[in-house]
Amino acid sequence: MTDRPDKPSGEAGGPTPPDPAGSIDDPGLLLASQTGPSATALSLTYRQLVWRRLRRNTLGMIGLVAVILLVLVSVFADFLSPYDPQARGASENIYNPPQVIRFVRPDEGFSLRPFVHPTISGFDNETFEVTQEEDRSRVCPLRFFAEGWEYRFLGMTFDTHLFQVAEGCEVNLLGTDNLGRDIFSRMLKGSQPTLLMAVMVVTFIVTIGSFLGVLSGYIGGRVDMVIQRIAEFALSLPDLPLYLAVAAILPRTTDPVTSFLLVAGILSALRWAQLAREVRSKTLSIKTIDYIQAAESLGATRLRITAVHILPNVITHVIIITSIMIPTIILVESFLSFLGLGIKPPLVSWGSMLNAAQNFQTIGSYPWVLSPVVMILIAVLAFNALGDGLRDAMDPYSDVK
Amino acid sequence: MSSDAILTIDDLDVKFRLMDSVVHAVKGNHLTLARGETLAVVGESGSGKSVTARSVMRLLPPNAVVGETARINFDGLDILKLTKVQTRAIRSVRISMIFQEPMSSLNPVYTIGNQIAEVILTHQKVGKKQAMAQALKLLNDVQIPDPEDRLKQYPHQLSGGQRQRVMIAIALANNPDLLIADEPTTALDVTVQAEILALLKDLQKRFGLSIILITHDLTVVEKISDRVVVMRSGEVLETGATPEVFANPQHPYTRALIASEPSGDPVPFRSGAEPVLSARDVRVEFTLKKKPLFGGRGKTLVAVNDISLDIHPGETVGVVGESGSGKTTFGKAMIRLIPNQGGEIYYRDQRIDTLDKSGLKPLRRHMQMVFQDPFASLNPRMSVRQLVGEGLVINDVGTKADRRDRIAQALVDAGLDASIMNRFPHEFSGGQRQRIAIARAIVMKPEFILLDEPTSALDLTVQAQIIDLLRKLQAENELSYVFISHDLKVVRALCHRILVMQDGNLVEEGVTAEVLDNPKTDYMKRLIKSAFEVTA
Repeated sequence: MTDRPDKPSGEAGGPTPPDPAGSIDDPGLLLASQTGPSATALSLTYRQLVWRRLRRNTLGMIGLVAVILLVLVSVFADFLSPYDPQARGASENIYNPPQVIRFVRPDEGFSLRPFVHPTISGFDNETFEVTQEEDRSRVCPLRFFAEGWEYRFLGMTFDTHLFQVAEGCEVNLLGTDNLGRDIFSRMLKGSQPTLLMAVMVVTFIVTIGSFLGVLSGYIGGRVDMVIQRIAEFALSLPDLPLYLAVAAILPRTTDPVTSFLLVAGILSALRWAQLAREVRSKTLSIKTIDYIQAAESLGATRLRITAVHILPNVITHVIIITSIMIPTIILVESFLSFLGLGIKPPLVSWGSMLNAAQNFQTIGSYPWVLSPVVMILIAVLAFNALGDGLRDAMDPYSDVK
Repeated sequence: MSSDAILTIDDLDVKFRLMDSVVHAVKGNHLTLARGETLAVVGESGSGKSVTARSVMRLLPPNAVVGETARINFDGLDILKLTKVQTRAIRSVRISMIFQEPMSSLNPVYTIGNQIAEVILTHQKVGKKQAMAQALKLLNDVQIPDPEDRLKQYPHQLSGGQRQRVMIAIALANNPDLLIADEPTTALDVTVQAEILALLKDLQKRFGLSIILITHDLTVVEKISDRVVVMRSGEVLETGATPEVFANPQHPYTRALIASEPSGDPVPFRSGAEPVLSARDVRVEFTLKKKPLFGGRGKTLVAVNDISLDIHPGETVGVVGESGSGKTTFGKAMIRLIPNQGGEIYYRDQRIDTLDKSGLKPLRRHMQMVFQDPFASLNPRMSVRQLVGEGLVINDVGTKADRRDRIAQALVDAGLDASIMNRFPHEFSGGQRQRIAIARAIVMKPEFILLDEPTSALDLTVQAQIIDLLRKLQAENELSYVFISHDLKVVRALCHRILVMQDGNLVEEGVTAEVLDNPKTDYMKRLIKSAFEVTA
């Protein structure tokens, strides 16, 4: 078998256009026909090439920027939050609707300093419903980089926040929940366990999955047989009943961190097998390519062949799988937390916030409790777009330079 | 010009839009094809020959842009002005095409009969039964043995040559006037190649076909074409009647192309020296089916059946045979890349087939290998310097600076520039990659190199250069080669002795000239006939 790996499928059947990579012809070739445009161009390393190709992919770049923003938001969540995500509001602040940031004041006209109108609750005597309206008579200007609640970051205590409002005012950009907590702040904070879970699980999966996959594919024989049977076992475990069982076994008093780690552990244990199989099949196909035998004929050890020849060629596949697996983990985490199995209070995640939106009445009356859905959507789409972009950019045989 | 031209192409200009560049694949070409004529389009890869032919079928990929002044006139029809529906009606009925790869052109889940009948049913108003009858007749026409049985068979049950015959049958199903054959024999063994070409020639006579034959193989051109068009980088350089072009080529490129047919003699070597590498009754078996745990028998295939060979310093031994004859397996077993199940292998006086991996390691540098496909044999993730220097690193040769010098020297010896060290394989053409692969072998200063069809994936002119390079390296360093090939022309130009293999057995052996001039077996006679004779 001399099949080239990763041959772009579009090229397989169609005519092969003249090598656009502009390959330089043999020096000393009398008939130097096409001296390609890149004959004098700088030689790029693989990483530079990938970056160049990725930069041309609009969707991939949007994904990359969104992922970077997500990570920044998650790291600086406390700074960006006007309220302590755990702090309950006063009883009149329960289910406050989102406020609009305004620039035009009722009396003074336009001002560069944004403000919000505070919400006042009333009671409709005819329908017996609580009404919440903006109090147009009062103005709560936003104060930037102002002091607020205290938080710890890198071991130090800070109290500066991106924005705050004056004492006696409230700013709830996305409204408040059933305990009067600021949904905006909770949503920012909620990105932390979600992303952390995704990163932890994926790191574990990638390490175990690619190690076992390469081992299984390259060594083959009995090792392969054993690893594949274990992988099949892991793949055949029903995940949902397993989560439910774990949730049932755990005492109610379990530390939230423990249950977080437990969920991460179960997720990793169930999902490494898929990657291990994919890496194995990739390794099997690379193993038959001539350059592996070329290395063997030079006397390379198994370790060297694995590290130098197989891993770098498998790793692109792994990176792509990673960026596609992260959204899956985010979704599974949200789903479990929504059911109340994943992340438990006082930790907050997007899924556990949606846990409050389990009945129709709540969603009907207070639709803003669904706002974490938007974040889940953005995160999943961003990672998927980045993954697609990377896959296109990392193909070493892709014609696009 | 001629009134009975079936196809005229005027001012054909095709560009491919790529992400940030435009490749000008065909540059304003003119072509004419007379009725009943065979026109060969020759050129190296990237010369635009396939693109030209595919424009006639309107089979270009979506990123192709055809110039506005281009005209393709096929028997009074302006091809480029046709709608999609009209184009479909033309394909297969008036013009059909056969491709290089008969494996991937047939659908593995349908029977041969079904696939031929389908083409007939799409374009003709006949019943299923009648279509099957026609299919049978077509299989008779393409001279497949036992055509009745073939109808019910699946593609995997046929050999490569038979599959190509089926493809031809499908192409002829609707009695087209023009047949475009895009490298129809490249993927086939030489002996099969000759049969397919003879078949095409015969069909042309019987059905009055016009044929456009795209190829890079000059022997094929000489064998069957009436006229020839030579293309390079999208331009037609020369057109003319085949015998004239071959006898009196006008354009310097055509001259170089014809001259690059392998020629010359092997480098003489001093006789009487002790052999570098010897094989005694080497036997290699592959386990096809393991012996079941309870009862039953396993199945093994004997890939190399007790073959012996001595290779002396400076000598080149050619191993020839059809694909599947075990020649590569034998070569790899000799340098211990594949374990042997019987016999003995010696490097100088040391027996090496009993050594384990660590015992072999110090000997590896004396025995190197160059592979057939330079795209597969270079790890795409490594720079030229890492690729060529890998053996030095593995065997811990010299300091970093020493290694650098040796790599530079090897690159220069292989006819490359030492400045390419930090580049990656994807930046080079096939010929350059093969030079890099050769540099990787010679940097170890080996005594023996196993050459596994090192030129068969390359264009003709490049092939000639690589052969010259191999000769030069051999003369300078008293290298010994085992040259595995199915191309007897190259073998004659390079090898002192020949080993002929068939199904794992050694069928003939001797000095190159003797074996080629005076073959003893029918098998060898057939190989020679298909490789050298002009009229098939």
